[in-house]
Amino acid sequence: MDYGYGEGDYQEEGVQEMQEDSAMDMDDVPVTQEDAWAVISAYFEEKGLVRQQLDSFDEFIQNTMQELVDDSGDIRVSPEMQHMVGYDEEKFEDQAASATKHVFEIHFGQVYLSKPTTVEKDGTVTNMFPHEARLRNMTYSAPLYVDISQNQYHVPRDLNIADPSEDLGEPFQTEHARKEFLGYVPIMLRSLFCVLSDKDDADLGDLGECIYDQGGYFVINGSEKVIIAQERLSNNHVYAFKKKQPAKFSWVIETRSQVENSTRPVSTLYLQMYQKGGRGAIEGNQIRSTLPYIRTDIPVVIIFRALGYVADRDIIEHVVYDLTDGEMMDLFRPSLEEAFVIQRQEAALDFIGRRGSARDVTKNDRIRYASAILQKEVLPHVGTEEHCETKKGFFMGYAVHKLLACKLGRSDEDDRDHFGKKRLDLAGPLLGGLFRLLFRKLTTDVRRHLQRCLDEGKVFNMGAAIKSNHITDGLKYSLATGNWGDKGNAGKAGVSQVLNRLTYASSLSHLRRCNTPLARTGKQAKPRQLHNTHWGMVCPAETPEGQAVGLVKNLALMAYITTGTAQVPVMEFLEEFSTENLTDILPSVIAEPNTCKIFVNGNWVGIHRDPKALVDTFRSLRRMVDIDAEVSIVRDIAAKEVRIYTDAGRICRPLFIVQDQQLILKKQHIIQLQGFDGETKLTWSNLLNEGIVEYIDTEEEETTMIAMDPMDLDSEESYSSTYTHCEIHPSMILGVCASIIPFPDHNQSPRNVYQSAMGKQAMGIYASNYQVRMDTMAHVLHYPQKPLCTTRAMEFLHFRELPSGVNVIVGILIYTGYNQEDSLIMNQSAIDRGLFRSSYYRCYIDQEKASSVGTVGSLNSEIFEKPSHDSTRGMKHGEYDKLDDDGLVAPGTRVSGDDVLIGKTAPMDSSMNMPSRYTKRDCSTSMKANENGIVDNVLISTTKEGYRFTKVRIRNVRVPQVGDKFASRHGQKGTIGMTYRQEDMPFTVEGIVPDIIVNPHAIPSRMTIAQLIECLLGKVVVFQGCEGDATPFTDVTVEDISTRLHAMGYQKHGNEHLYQGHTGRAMNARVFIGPTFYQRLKHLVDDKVHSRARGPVAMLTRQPLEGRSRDGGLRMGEMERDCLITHGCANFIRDRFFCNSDQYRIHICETCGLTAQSNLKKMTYECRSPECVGRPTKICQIEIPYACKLLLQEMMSMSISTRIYTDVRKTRDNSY
Amino acid sequence: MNAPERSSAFLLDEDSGEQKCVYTADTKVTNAGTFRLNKEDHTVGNLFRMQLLRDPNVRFAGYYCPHPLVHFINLKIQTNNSTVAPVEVLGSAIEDLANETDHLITQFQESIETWKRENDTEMTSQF
Repeated sequence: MDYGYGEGDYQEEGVQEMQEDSAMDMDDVPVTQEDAWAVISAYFEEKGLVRQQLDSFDEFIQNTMQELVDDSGDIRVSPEMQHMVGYDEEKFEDQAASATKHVFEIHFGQVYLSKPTTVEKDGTVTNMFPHEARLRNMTYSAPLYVDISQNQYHVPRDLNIADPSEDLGEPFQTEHARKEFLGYVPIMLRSLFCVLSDKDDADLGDLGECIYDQGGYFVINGSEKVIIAQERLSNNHVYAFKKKQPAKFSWVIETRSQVENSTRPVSTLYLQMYQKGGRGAIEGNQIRSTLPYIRTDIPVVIIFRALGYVADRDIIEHVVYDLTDGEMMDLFRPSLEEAFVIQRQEAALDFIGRRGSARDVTKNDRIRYASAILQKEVLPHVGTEEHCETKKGFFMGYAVHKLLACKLGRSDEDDRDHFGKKRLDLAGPLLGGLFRLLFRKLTTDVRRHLQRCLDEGKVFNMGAAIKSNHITDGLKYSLATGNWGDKGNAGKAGVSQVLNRLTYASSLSHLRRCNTPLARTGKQAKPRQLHNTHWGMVCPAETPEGQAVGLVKNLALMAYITTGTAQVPVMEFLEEFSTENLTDILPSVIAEPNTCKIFVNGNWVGIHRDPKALVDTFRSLRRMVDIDAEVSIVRDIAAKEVRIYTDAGRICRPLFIVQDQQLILKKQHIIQLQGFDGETKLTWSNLLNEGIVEYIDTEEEETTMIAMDPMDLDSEESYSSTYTHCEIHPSMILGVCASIIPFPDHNQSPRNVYQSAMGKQAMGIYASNYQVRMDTMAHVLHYPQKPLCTTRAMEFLHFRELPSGVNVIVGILIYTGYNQEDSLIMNQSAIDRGLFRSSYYRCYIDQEKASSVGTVGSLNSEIFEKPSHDSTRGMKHGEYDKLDDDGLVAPGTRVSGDDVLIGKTAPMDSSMNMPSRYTKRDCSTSMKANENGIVDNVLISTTKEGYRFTKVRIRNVRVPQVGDKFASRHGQKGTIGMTYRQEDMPFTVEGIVPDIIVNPHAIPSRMTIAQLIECLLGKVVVFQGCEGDATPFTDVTVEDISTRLHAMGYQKHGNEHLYQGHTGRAMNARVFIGPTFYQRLKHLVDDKVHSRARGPVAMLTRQPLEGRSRDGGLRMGEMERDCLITHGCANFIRDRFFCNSDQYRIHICETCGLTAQSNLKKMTYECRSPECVGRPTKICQIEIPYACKLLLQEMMSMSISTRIYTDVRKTRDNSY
Repeated sequence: MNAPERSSAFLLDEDSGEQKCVYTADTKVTNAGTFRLNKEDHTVGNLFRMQLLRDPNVRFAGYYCPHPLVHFINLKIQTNNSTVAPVEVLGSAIEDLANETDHLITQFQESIETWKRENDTEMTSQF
């Protein structure tokens, strides 16, 4: 097992050491960058590549769902008085007069999720497996149940039962319903509740799964759906932005406040510093705030007064903190002066209330309204219960302080694009939001049903009240369409997408994608640019080109998204560690030099007097995992703040911990990780628990000092003496697609971007179970090879096991001239030997549906059969003979354009029309007109509803030919320009003939040096018989490679003499030739060739159709027309736009100019218009476009008559 | 999909009465002419050209393949004087080449025989 690099070599070394000197102190052996791969292997072994998806979904299933049900609150209903005809109303009045009322309460308790099951037509419940769901177009989902208790109370009549805090006392009757069915929840593959979660490779194979499949997606109606992570700005953070002048404001503070896991929309608090003064003596710089539901901006001091801080001193203490800070005091003065007229809390509340949207009459109402807004709507994350004015005052003061500090130039504007302030919503939070919505809909339905039952005096039945369709269909709808939110309401679109199955890497990359929901049209460049904080979190190369550039991102290999942990343990820790609560301190304490503000998830919870000790203790606890490893702590020394985050959606990555310029990771650990010690193998969790590595999120990363390489730590020329962390490996900054590029650090960066996009179009083996899958379209490369030049990351991407290309001999030269402008010359003999051959699979699907006539499931539904000309109407023109008696083609049949694959007929309604010999209508499925192949597989099954259902897979071998597209791994794509047999190709002195000849002009301007290095290393490695290491950011140099090549007797730089294939003469120049990994891309000429002379036309306009699939014409657009006009060939324009399009002939009456009636057979022509009837007519025939005739008729329908004359006529006023 | 048959590169199209060789005399120069060799390529073209250029009677000999996807070559020959026609020089070139290839074959076979004789007979009997 010689890989030519690292692993193999090292392993032997390690074993030797162990044997020779097991007592030797391992700590003395330095840990190298090479050793880090053992750690990375351990990471991927435990986590895989889609852990963020799985963890997020598991969190939703295990916690969020229950929390949402708990938070939904009880349903309380009491019967209402009914006025029914013929009823004794007095009886009701008696009831109304009684002191108590009858209350029903429904409480949702524990939820249960079963393993995925399905109910067949006959009512049997069976376990479902993902592969079955894929094949039978079913949804891979599990039933959800809930415990429900029903309580009945007698409560005082005037009790407000709508208030959930109101105690109803003891129920007089209680019923418990166990495990009521709520609906089906789609299950993410390979998550905890998936049947595949605990299966090994052999089991997976038996279940028809790909052994390399990582899960992380759903199966909805048979199609695989991925939830794309959605990027958003984090909530509860105080942002300060400078306004671009000229503007009304100089600075603006924004706080998007939202209570955690709440349904309430984000309530944003704005604080604006005005540029100009208002009326009166105020000179400007006054601060006002925008409050929800309040029409005008309120001076901030009035809000303080309304919150109960009346005295100026009180307010200043909360805003400026340090009363000796004259500068800030001066800046705050205009705000104070502006609110001078309002000096009492009531007056302030009244001031706010007056400007509210509700026009209340009394002053008391206004005050109540204003205080309700302050309590519920302003900064809800600080608290929405009563008496949190103190905390809100502190928070408001903090925001104003920040605004003043910014204005004074003491702190900078916030960076909107800082990745630390971004959160990614994954499957969990997204499904959580959806589930909350649907569950609420379900409960309101239950309430309505209960109310009606009570009012009408019927028996309430729980099972009938719960409409399980809400959750089942709601979740399915959003996942199937990608429209996140209620049906009908336009939510976010494109959240769930069909998993890309072109090649294995493209699937992986799709599962790690994230999207920024921002208007694509926006010209703003900033959010699209790579930010410093993206380092290690987001791939710098993998982003689409064009309109979505930079908005669609891909996670770096080791990036991990937090799932969110409870805030409670952190709060307990803070309390234990002598944090002073905000309610217990004097504001003057904040200004003291040692104190530090403590924020938890953006909310100011208290102050601490020894932040360093706090942060150190916190870190050490986290490294022991006493505090969850994904909680992050940031100490902002300049701002005197400590910020702790526990929320979901933060992007983080693991790093080695460094203490005293030394890694905690020692050689001993590496050996244990590799499992040579005989002891149990060390895992990633062990490393985490032992405090060797830790997760650092984007914001915490700013407070660390990270070494790039373990060797940098303690060396002489060490850059820093205060390292806190060390990169695990710098190549981990790349994403899935960029990790396949060899030596990406030697390419011009856009080339890596291009390759990252192209790698997704390469053919390969997209899943190990492709033979049993029935994808609508799939390409499989026949003889894929693992690349000669690999990167270490490929190991985790299974690129060696499921590769998407071939190592071909590439010569870079000009030869015969058929490789110009990015075309390639390919060796026809090599193609004949099977080079780059691929299979193309296409699936045709059909099912027997209930016909529009007749009843469901009876003889009157559609049936698969071989339609006969005698009884079937509307048969297609394709070949029906290839169908078997069951109406399906047999596997192995050769089929081509328009052949019928699935014969199906629908019954016709015989009662309607007059009797005819036809009893059935044809609705067969035929092949696409310009495809052919061999029937590969036919599946017949039933749908969930019990209808027969079939999938027919066609296979077709695609041999490379002129026009097919190929690419190296460096964004160098090209199409075949010519194929030459081997005897016409050039050859080296050893008889090596290139498989591909690329034009040297492809190299200089594109600067894909890595392709040359790949070729050079490939050449070395092919002679040495090992794999070449092309991992970026390692110390391999071109010099090393060329020395190795030279040692084998070749020219150092890979150049060789080539002999002309036609003459056998040596060519003058030496040619760079060697093996390079090439990919065959999915764009094949056979899928694109198209031409048409005559063909179908559109029904309405009689103009030719568009598109290859409809045998359409080639569009002659405006620009082509412009060319013809400038060229002056009018007759040609007429030919193109008229004769070859929608030429039409009509007859017009020369007298009235309207269309005349003509009978060409009888040769009679007449004009029936009133002005011409009975008069001698002059009819003439004209040629106009059919579209023109259509226009005339449409105008007629609007009472506009258009008259056509063939000669110049005078109008009434003698003008033309 | 619509690619021409591979055999069209070497099989004469008999339906259209395609000839192996068509000679067109040059209209301006008397002792020159063009041979169109159907279904031939560089293999023959280059061989003929090389052999023709050895002939002292040949002033010019050259060939071209108009496009890699059309399967014929044009061989142009001009002789020194009008006493020798291009057809004659091509004829003798072909004859010489035939002799040369025959010689090559005999030499090759002789060397095999020699090698067989010099080496162990048992081992070679497999061949």
